[in-house]
Amino acid sequence: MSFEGILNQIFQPYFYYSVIFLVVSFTCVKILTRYCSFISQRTKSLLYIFPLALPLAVMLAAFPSTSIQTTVQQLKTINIGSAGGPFGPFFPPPAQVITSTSTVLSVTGIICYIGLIAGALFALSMVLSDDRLARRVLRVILISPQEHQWLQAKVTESSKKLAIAPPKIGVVEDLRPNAFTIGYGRRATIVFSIGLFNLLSREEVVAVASHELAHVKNNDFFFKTISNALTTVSFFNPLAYISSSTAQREREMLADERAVELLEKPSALANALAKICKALQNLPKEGSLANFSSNLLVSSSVLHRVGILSTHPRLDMRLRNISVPKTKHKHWSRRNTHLALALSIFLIISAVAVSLAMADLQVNFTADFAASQVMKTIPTPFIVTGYQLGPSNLTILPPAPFNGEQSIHVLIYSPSPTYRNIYTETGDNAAASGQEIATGEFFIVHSQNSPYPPMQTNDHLPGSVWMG
Amino acid sequence: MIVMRLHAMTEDKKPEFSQYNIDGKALEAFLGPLEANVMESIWGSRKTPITVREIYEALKKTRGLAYTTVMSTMDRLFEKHLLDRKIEKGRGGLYYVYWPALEKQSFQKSAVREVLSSLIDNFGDVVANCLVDETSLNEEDRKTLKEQLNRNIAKKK
Repeated sequence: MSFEGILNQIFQPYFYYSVIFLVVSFTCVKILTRYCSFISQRTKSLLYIFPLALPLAVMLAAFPSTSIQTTVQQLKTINIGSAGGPFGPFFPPPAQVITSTSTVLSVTGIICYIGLIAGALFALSMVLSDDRLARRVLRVILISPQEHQWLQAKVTESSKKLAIAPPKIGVVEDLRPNAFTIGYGRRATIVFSIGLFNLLSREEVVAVASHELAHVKNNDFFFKTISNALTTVSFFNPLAYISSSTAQREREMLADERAVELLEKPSALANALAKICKALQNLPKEGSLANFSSNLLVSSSVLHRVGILSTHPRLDMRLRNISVPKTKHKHWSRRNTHLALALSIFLIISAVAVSLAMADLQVNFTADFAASQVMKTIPTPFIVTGYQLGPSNLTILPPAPFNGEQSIHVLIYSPSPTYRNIYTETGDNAAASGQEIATGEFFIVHSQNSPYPPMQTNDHLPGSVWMG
Repeated sequence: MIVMRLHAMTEDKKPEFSQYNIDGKALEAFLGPLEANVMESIWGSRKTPITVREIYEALKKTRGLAYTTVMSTMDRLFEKHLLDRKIEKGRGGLYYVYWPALEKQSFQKSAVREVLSSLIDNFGDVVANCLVDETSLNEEDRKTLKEQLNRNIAKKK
């Protein structure tokens, strides 16, 4: 694909609007959450979902009208008959028509459709997925009532405090310290690894269990499903992954806060997190594919590595969040808030201005590009035909009289001046059919000397300027 | 039930039989009932090495067992050098895989030898007499065998 071709793909409105809106809204949310310290963890996590939802809204609004790109695949001529009478065989009328335009989905359109379909399928499969299947895939063993009774009692007690159904408890053979939750609501299972039992004291295991219970209470299964589905919609945009993981980090902080409320000794959670983090440094890294697949089924794993795409915050941030009482988060600076709001408004206005400018550029650019593609494929000698303007289309009229050599103008239907009135050919063909060329297609064949009146304006063709 | 404590083996990696249960059937004479079940399961399994979960799932069908019970049993069998283990990395993360340190026949031979050795050390010629009495030889052959066994035991001491 040529450079112009790539630009033409990027200039599809649904594509660049979705990218620009995600970038701008993510930056605004980042600024607001950074400087407006009164915003709670819950609100922060929801704010980070907003940039992910915008591309979906843009795509749904822009499809399908602007997703179709008209291209000329091939120009071919069709002989639609021959003159009758005794000389017919010697002078066959060149009754030829262009039948070459076709509408195909642009590459970016295909990408967006893939994102939409994959996102919808992902969300659907997660909500419909069976917790038993997830347990089987992750090799979870449900513990019996006789096992770890101290833990089961604490989980039941904390569930009552949170007003949720006590989840099932399972173990996995993994020697790495880990705990995670499968499923949601009454189908939730909290899973602990053998490595976690080996590493932590009972009090610390209970603290980790409280963190997982907080995830169940906060409905983080659905939060993660929505976040991941929206990321899938914008899978071509790296910022979507960053926004999604930032949102999930805020949910982790929220779960920590709620777990601390449940615990008699909040320091147990801090100790557990520190131990897990330290142990992790000495363990081999898990495969990226295994990590990815298990992350799909698991709504909160304490086992994680810190990075830009990590779904968990840094240990020091979590420890600070656990140790600082909630009331201290409430202090806020009026100046910072005003600054953040002003900056966000400026960014939004700039984004709208850039989008409008881009839209204007896009119309000219894509039309020029399409016209140039037409010009590459027009054969010579060319055809002669008449035309008739309809309210929204052109109709090529029946064959014009054969009248010898003519000057033929091939006029390109383009809002840009570059490709207007550019092809001139001399020929002796006069042909047409009743074929209609719909608005939005890119060429008009016009014989200057034909008996049909020349077209002067394109008033009937919305969005174009005709300079015939 | 009569339980005889046997001498713990001091050598590395040599199977350790800590008890002899006179009422126990087959392997249960040397091992606890669950230990015997686990060992039988591992020897009977086509898959080797094997994980705790796989043994747990096999035993769960015949008797109601908790996973942690099977895990601690296999851990104990490893400490007794009846099982070997290593850490493997796979789909489920890092986990132990186990395999028998001895084949079933070698284990039985080794266990019987341990018991006999202990009996001889403690009761010497009584053991020889008992063993010969258990055989179906005639009087003269028994006498010859007893003398030979007593000589060997005396030499060993």
